Amino acid sequence: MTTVTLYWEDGTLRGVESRGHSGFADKGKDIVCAAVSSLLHALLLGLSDVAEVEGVECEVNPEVPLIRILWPRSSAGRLELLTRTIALSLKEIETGSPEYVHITEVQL
Amino acid sequence: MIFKFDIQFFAHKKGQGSSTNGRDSKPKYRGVKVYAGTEVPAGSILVRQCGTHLHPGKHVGLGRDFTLFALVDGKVEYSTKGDRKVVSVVPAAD
Repeated sequence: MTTVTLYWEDGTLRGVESRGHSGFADKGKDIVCAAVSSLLHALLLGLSDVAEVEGVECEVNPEVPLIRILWPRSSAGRLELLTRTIALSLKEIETGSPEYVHITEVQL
Repeated sequence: MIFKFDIQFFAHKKGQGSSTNGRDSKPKYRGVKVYAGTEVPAGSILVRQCGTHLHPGKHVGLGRDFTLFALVDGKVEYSTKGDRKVVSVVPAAD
């Protein structure tokens, strides 16, 4: 089960964390994992290479596995288009695969 | 790019496959034990076999497990009779 945590601050998304194996299938066949991984990677690409946001914190630990991405409050507003899309997409994955993805939302 | 993209980042490592092989029966050590031209004493086992791949010839006995053995002292000889392979023992000159 992959646990995704959305970090909110004053109604604005400030970060996303994803932890744990989805358990849908073995490496190479796990489509649920592929979906979550792709969205997180798209988010990171958008932040760092497209929006070129300064001060993005990104922790990656393949052992756990864990990906945590936090972006500064100052740019959170202008990134809403990207970050809310990713958050909504993650929720849709949870809707489709509730046994493999669980989303929690935390207020910073 | 901050980290190398792995589309299977949250997937389990591939499970170690298992095989259903790995069994074998005990070795039976069959085959020809004495080759042509060898001097043997009576009673020597010449061939261990399952069924009569080789047939007993002159001065060679056939055991209940199809073992061929020498009945007299002498030299071992292999030949064919029709489509049969035959083992014989040529008695040693007295």
